[in-house]
Amino acid sequence: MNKRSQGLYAPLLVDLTFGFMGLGSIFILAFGPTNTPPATAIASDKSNGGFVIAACVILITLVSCIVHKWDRKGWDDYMQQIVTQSALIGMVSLLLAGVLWDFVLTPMFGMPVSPRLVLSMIPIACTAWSIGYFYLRFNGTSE
Amino acid sequence: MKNRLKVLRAERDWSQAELAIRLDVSRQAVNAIETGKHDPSLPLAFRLARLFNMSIEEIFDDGQ
Repeated sequence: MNKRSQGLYAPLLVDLTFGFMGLGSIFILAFGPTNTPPATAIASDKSNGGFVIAACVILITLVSCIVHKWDRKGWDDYMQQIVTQSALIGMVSLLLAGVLWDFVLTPMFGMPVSPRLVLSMIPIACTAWSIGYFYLRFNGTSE
Repeated sequence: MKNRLKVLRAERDWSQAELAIRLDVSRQAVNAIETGKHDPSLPLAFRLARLFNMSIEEIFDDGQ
């Protein structure tokens, strides 16, 4: 960990980042719009759009893998484990919340959040990731 | 996982911040290891062992 990465990955800075991310996400989920018109027309041909989204996901994932390697080098052991373990908690929570949303919440309350990805799934993931981060930060990562 | 890090550090009269600099990690990481909240990765465990000139088993006890 050099001086530059010490500043970039300082625990206090990471705490603040996750704090703001979690609070912002909760705010969006609680007070954000429940329905917004689609920004673009529905694709008439699935094949073109489907190929583009698949290519985007593969490219972004590969870039994320490389960035993760840099993080592993630059970050100290403790913070890196907290962030990666809480990301796993966030991902599992997102999947379960998605199921809960579709099968329980929508029939009961209608659509409780916006169908737009940026206003629904991303805040759910960020909220779960932040809660997981602070849970591990206070309770530790050991068995 | 139990460890002797706090004792070893005290024997050398190092603060957590000093040890963190020697290990190239944050002070929070040293504190978390000492309090048993964090099990270090293998590379960090090797760095600790080299720093204290001991084997990993002499520093950490997994209770087995």
